[in-house]
Amino acid sequence: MMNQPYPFISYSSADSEIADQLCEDLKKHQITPWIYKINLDENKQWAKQIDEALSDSSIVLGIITKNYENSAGMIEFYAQISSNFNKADLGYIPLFFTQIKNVKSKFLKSIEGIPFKNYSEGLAKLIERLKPKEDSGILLSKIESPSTPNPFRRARAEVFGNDYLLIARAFAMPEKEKYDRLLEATPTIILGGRGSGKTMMLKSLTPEVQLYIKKVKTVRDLKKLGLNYIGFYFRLEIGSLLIYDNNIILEAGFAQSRQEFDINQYKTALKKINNLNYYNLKSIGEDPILSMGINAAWTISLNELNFKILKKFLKKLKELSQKTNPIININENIEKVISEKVSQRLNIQNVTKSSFNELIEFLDGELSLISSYLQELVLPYGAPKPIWHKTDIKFIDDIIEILKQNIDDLQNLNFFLLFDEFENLRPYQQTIIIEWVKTAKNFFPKISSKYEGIYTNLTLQGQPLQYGQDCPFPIELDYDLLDKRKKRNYQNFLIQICHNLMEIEGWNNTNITEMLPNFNEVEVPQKSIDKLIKEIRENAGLDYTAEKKVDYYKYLKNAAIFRLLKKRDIQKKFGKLKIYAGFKTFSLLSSGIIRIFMNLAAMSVYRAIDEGINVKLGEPIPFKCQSSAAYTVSKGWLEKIPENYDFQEYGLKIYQLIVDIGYILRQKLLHHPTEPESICFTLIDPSNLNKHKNQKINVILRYAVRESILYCRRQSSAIVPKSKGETKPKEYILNRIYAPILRISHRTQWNRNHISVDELKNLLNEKIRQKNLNIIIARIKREDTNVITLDEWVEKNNEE
Amino acid sequence: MKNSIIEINHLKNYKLNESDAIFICWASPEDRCLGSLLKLSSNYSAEKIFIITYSHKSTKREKNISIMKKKLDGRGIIEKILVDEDIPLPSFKLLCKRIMTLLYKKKEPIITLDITTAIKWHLLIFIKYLDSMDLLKSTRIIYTEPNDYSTNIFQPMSFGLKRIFPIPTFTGEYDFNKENLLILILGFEGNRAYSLYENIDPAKTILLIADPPYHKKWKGRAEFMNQKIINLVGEEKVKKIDARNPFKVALQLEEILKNKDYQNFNHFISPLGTKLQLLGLYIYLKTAPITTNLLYSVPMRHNEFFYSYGLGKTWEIKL
Repeated sequence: MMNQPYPFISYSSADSEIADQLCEDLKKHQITPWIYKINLDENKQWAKQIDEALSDSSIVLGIITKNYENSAGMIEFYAQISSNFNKADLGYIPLFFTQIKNVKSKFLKSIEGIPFKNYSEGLAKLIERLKPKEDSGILLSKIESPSTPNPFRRARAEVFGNDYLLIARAFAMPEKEKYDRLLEATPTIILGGRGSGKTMMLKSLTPEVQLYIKKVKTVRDLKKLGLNYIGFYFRLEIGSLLIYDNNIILEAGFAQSRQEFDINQYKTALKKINNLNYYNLKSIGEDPILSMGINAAWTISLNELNFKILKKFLKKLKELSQKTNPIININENIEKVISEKVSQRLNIQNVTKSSFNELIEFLDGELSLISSYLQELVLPYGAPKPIWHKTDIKFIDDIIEILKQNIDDLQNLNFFLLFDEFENLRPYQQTIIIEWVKTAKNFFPKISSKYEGIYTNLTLQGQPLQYGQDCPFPIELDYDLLDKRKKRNYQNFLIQICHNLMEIEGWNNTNITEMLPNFNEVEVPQKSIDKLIKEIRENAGLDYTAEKKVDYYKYLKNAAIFRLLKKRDIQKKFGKLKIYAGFKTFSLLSSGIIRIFMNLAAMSVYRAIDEGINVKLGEPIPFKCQSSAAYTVSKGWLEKIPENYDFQEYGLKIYQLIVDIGYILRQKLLHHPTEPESICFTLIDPSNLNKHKNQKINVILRYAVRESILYCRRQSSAIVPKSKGETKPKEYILNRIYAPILRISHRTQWNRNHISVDELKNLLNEKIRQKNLNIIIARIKREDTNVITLDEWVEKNNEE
Repeated sequence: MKNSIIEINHLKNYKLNESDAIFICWASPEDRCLGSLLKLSSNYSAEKIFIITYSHKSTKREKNISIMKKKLDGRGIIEKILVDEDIPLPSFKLLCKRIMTLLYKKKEPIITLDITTAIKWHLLIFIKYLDSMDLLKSTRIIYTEPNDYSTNIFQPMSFGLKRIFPIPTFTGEYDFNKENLLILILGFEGNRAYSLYENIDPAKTILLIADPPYHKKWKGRAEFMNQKIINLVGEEKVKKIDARNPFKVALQLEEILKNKDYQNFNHFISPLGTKLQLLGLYIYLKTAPITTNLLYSVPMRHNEFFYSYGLGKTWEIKL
């Protein structure tokens, strides 16, 4: 199964500085989700705690110093360790901070330790020793490799490139209601995390893909079948627009305002604009350099977008109207008429273009002029000349009108401009497309973005976008798995995607539910579970009656399994880890993110092939392979957090926060007598997030939600304050994929894990983190079960 | 001599019996920033010496600056140029204007530019600025290789990813009709390369690995460190490029990218390899048939156990 080092450090209190340093350095290398530290002198109940820690751990690191050897509990401690060597999968590594020859203990000397005379060298060796035999990141990359025949390797839409046939074959329609909304003749915004299927949805609206889906030859055929739109796909990659760097705005600001260059003013303004977001877009009006710079950048970006969109139209129409097998009919005459009219619109009547190619060449020239202008703007002795032809916000509207009027096949078709990865645009660039959402008459922008990726809802003039009026409320692609209907929809969606992918690879059985059978047994003896449930009730002083056994079982079964898997005798027979298997479990673990599910399926196939199982011929994947896959994918996704640039400098902090919350929830799972299972926490004072001092934790939570690491639950299920006047609490659910590696339940069950903004913030402060963690755990372990839930509060207050 | 790279044991004045007009070097926490200074010939001098340093505090860097000043004492007028690591453009622009003023009316002046510890994207911008003022032809570039890194086990050189951005002044004309091709010039920062790939999600990728590497004993190290990205992209997408000859690198880039399979793509190149490869990239970009975007990723932090130590070979390059 897993080879997951799970070290804890044992040390003498006199060596706590060394232990802290080691802890820090190991964390920097993401060696383990968390590290236990056992202080041998101070902890009165050390034996019990060591035993508990050992049952979770696979490696103990002993900081060997004179103090350690002299500490009271040491002999008993390593006696306990040595007695456990044969019983469980446990290792002990002495870290010699003293000369090995001076160590008295024969036991310690007999184990292969690491000299720490030179700390850096010792640490490097330790990291190498602790590195798992299998790197989950490497495995994740293997299962997505193009050279593997694994059908689930195709977890990203981009791997299909421009292979429209393959896109059409792989495309699965999400729930009809969502897809129908996308097809409506209105601007639409789609929100979803990474890997939620946004790109596939947008690409499915292009004519090339529709032709394959509907199995027809021309746009006219599509129209006959009732299709009333044509989609043009635009990937707004970082660098897709020439202005990304904010220095250009400042340079433009200084140039426009004719102010003398001042480096300090420049730096202050740059810092201000780097922090420009949804909340302060308006505030730049007071700063002449910034406001002129942003206006210039907005105008340049608008012109660039206009030219690039027009170029896309022309190239695409040219491609679709090729003489052999034309998909759209555009003859030379029509092309000439359109080119002339577009030339007029561009105010280039004196050099009227008579073909699409001539127009494209002209546009390339204009784009080069913009590019040169921007280059010259930042060069030491640059001479920027804004000499391209100027266009306005209505330009694309007018162009589409020209196209519709002159191309029969396009008449009565709605133009969908499919803007993918909207979050990569700068806020002032987003305002251009938002303005189109509000004002465009001849086309409908379909925008896809990550959560929190729309940095402004304003036009440049400060007009707000109004949902329900300018466009419908966004379509959310992440599935709320707490809603039974949505969960079912998601599962059906997955079944269809998997069927398509397996069919493309020519697999015999394309039913994913049969490939991933459920684990229908209980991983530990039923008797032990029953006995433990009784103990849990009785130890908490709660009643235990035979009639209510079913209820107790319902609430405590999973927690009992987790607790039993910590017991040495159970571990010996059944292992340390909870089993995760079955299509339904995997769909839950994937938290509504298709890519995660694909990774789980692909990793299961990878493990099964390793075991000699012929999955391609339809042999089901054994639960052991599935479960092993779940742990690997879980670890891989957790370790991806610090590598995600979208978090900017907060990646490691978010990683640490998730690990800490996992640790808190695990403690609850192992100790709470009535409501142990949970994967959520409730922020009791979310209004405090808006305070300046809490800016960092606010950003961290927003980023975590944007990247689907946390889900913010809608208000129907949060826990509420005692009085109606206070702000409503906010409930966050961890992405369930982290559950296996954090060893917590992936089910939501109970959400009474109250945490304040201050407490969360303190978890990010290394100096007080441990103390704060202990306080939260102590409270949550015994949290009052009589707290009113929001559902109850709503009912009480007659609020929807 | 134009288009040349030669190994030097001592850094002498470019012209016999004549001071260089300007000597520019970067101060860094790495000992390598002292490289060329330790190899200065006894009579080396420059009329003006600029030591570029960064606003992020580092005790090690400050210590190295003191040594640099000592080594350069009496060899020219020294001036420290403080650059904000995140906002280099205005400082470089001012510095270049200063340089231009200093060189005013000078006949065939020589600038000696030690790039050993410059931040890669800063270096590209700085070279472009010199080029835009037609000063690159008067510049000789000095680069000192590391002897090795302070750990011999295969650990990541950096962790996490702080941000990705197109390098200012190196943005190409992106075409919405084309898919994206990511070209990664790989070094030892496997996670940085992998994160870039994950975040750009290109339709196609080419991986360029230095072969042969600086040192024979480094053979296979880049492949090992970049295992994840190699798996994801496929081994057949790995191509070899020179580790240290910028002119060869430029030709190899041209050779690889002129392939018609790659013509119909938006090119995104990310330089994660050596600085000499970076110079090769600059030469290639000057003649690139397809406008290219350069992407840079800033790691969250560098692995302090991976700092280079010792001095390897020193090269003199004329572009």
